[in-house]
Amino acid sequence: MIEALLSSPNYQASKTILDVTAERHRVMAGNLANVNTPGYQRMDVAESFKSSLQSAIKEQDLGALRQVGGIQLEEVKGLAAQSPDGNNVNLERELMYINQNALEYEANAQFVSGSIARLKMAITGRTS
Amino acid sequence: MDFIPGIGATASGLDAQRVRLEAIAQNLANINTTKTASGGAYQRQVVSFVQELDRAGNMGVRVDSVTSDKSEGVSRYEPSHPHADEKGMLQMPNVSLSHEMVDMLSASRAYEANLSVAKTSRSLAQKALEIGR
Repeated sequence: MIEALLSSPNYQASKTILDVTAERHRVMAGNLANVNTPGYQRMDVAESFKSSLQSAIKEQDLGALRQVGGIQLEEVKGLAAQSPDGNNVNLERELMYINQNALEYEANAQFVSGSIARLKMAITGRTS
Repeated sequence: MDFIPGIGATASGLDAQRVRLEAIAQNLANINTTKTASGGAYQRQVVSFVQELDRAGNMGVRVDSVTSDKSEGVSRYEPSHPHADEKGMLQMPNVSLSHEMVDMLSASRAYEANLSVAKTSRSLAQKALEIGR
């Protein structure tokens, strides 16, 4: 019963995005740690993974959402090198991405929280 | 998987940048040192980084080596100096003030950036704990 209530596509998508944004934060923290490492190439969530997740969310398809599977990472190519040693991590841009990503995480955490709170409200009949 | 996402990489970044800052401080302190234990003028210390994947899967950074820059500094004519050679030339260290200052700015900026990510990571973990409250 509760299983059904908690398997709405939006709730599941939010849960998946929480995982992805947490992983992305981890990866970008690594990028920033390597801002002065010669030859380091910035890592991010793979474009192919992003697009398959996006289409699964768009279709509101629970099966597809579950099939998206493990988060894939890749080195980001084609960025301008930031220093002569070939490192392509831009400090400011990376910080901006990290903050943007953190905000996304918070928004999704709030949505998940809200879903649980609404469920609780339905069960107990009280608003808090 | 860490409890706080990415804290391992951030910690390694802070550590590496601190080692770099220490080397810069040492270079600046010895900007006029014309004699060292190994003889000859002081040689500036260079810190080099390599990326390192830790056990939790974080792409961190590690100090690969701290080496001496072997390039020669300027030598100037100062016959009265006790460390001058028989021709009266004094070999100065290869430390350049402007070079070290720029390096210091870059290191401290990277340090601060890592520190701010540590705060963000902490707030993410906090938000995760608040789910369902």
